[in-house]
Amino acid sequence: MIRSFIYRALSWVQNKVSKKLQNALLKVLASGPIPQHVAFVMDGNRRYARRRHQAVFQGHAQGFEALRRVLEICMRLNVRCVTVYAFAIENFKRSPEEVDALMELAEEKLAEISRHGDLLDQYGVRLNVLGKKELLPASVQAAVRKAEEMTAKNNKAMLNLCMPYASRDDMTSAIEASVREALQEDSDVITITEEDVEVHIMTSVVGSPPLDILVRTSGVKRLSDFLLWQGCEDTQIQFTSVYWPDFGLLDFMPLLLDYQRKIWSSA
Amino acid sequence: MGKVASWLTSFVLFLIHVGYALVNAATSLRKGYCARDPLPLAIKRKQVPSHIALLFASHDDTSLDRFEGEMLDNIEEVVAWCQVVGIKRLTVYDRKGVLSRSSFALRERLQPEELEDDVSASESDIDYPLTPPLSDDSGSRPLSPQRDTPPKLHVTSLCLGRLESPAQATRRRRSLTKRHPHHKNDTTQEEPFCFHVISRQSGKAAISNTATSLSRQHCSASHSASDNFTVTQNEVNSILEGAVARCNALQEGVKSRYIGQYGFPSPELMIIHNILPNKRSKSVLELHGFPPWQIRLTEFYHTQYPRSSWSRWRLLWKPKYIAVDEVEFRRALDEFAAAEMRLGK
Repeated sequence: MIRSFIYRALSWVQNKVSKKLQNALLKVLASGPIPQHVAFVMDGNRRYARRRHQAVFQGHAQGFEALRRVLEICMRLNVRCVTVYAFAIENFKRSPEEVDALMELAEEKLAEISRHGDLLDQYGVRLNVLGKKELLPASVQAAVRKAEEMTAKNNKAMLNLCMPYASRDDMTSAIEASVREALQEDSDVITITEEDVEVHIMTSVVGSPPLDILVRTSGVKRLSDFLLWQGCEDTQIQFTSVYWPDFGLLDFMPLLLDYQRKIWSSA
Repeated sequence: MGKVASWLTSFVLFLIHVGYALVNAATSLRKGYCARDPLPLAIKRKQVPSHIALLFASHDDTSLDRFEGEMLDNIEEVVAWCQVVGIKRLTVYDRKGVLSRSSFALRERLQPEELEDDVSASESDIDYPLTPPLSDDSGSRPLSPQRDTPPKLHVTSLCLGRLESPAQATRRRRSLTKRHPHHKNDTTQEEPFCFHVISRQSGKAAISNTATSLSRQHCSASHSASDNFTVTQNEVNSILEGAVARCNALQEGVKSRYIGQYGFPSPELMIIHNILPNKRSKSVLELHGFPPWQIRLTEFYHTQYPRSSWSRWRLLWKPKYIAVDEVEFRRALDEFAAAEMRLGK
């Protein structure tokens, strides 16, 4: 009994110390250049669960905890905008059980995260859900609307939750919107520029700054229809072999250092 | 006190960066000496891309002009490797468009011996403009009955080798049961090697030109309200990837080597290659404006710890062109073979 007490006390001390160390490290990193907009492809939840002989939905739940952790890290670093690939339009092809479980998780966590006093409120983060929301079940759409309303007045930072999203769908909608806009102008010669299309890209519509870093976890080296328009210029694309539920400050640090080196060398 | 604290945090950050630079240098050393050799070029791999893209990257645009000749030499080598492995389509990209301007020179370099006989027969039928044809040109081929003003896509496509007739294509398709690397047999000679040369203009500018073209068509076709304009992903795809137009060109049995401004399909694998030596041990992947539409499912290959960094001190003073070498190419193919394609599931 004494042993378990000592163990618990040591864990508590370790947590406190590691929390203090983590905060100190974050302060140090924040003293250098910080990216304005970071995006994450949260890949590897299912493989993480399988490796630990857990059910797939547990992997997704752990994935959500990782999202909380990484979001808090970004907020403490003063990253103004975080975009995450929560669900791809292609993911509807998965088994109905998994899709249902993901939709339930989304509904539950949307309510949780936008609650008064929770993470988004704490750091003044406005939630935007980007994508073809019509494809979501009605209850999830309602949860989305509620979460967006609750955080609408926050203006310190923003979290773009891409769900269900596909970059080609994003670009097609932007083309459609720019054409409609141009047709309304009723001029003799219509010319649509890159900037005209850019304005209708989903991340631009919600006021996101240009994308600085795009991270994909789990070792996969492709973009899978995520932020293609936003990331094809001078965004640093980082592939890491860590599974998303394991991703933490020590994994994020090298990516941040790479960004800082890029800024310093171009100055 | 505030000033001291801020000085201290900056100093600690500096130390962290020094430590990070040392870790990168050590990793670069280890990868340089201990890396296993990739599999040989012609060996049978689990999966081989049917379309490869080569992105010539540089942090300094003027170097692209300076090393134009070297890039063309390099492309010739890469085409030869593609033919050994059985890759039938290659796209080359540089941000500035240096390669697009040299597409005529490239065609002359890549012309295989078999075509010597064809030259006199087809030359008279085909135009080889050095600049892209105007989208309003009445001579341009329509993409479909309604769409008669094709948008400027800034893609130069070349086709090398004899084009097969539709009957030959059907026979070939029936004999191939699954995708596998081609060995030296009859089918490789019948399928043409397709080559696309693109620049930044082939990306976002092509997309906005597509939007312009669609709006002009909607305007001239129906003078109804703008609100009922819709476009599907497939329609946009057929314009940007040029499938419809290329099909038309092939069906007409044209033995052309210059297919024209019809877009290009999505590459399965992209090799991002820095043509200049790296200032640091570690290089981070960037796409330098590569067309966004076509990179949806593309596997990226990029050397994070380029070997050139070891002679970089000498090279920095007088930068030399760093070529795509066969080892890098083979490593890219090995990585592609090992990649798992889940396609959303």
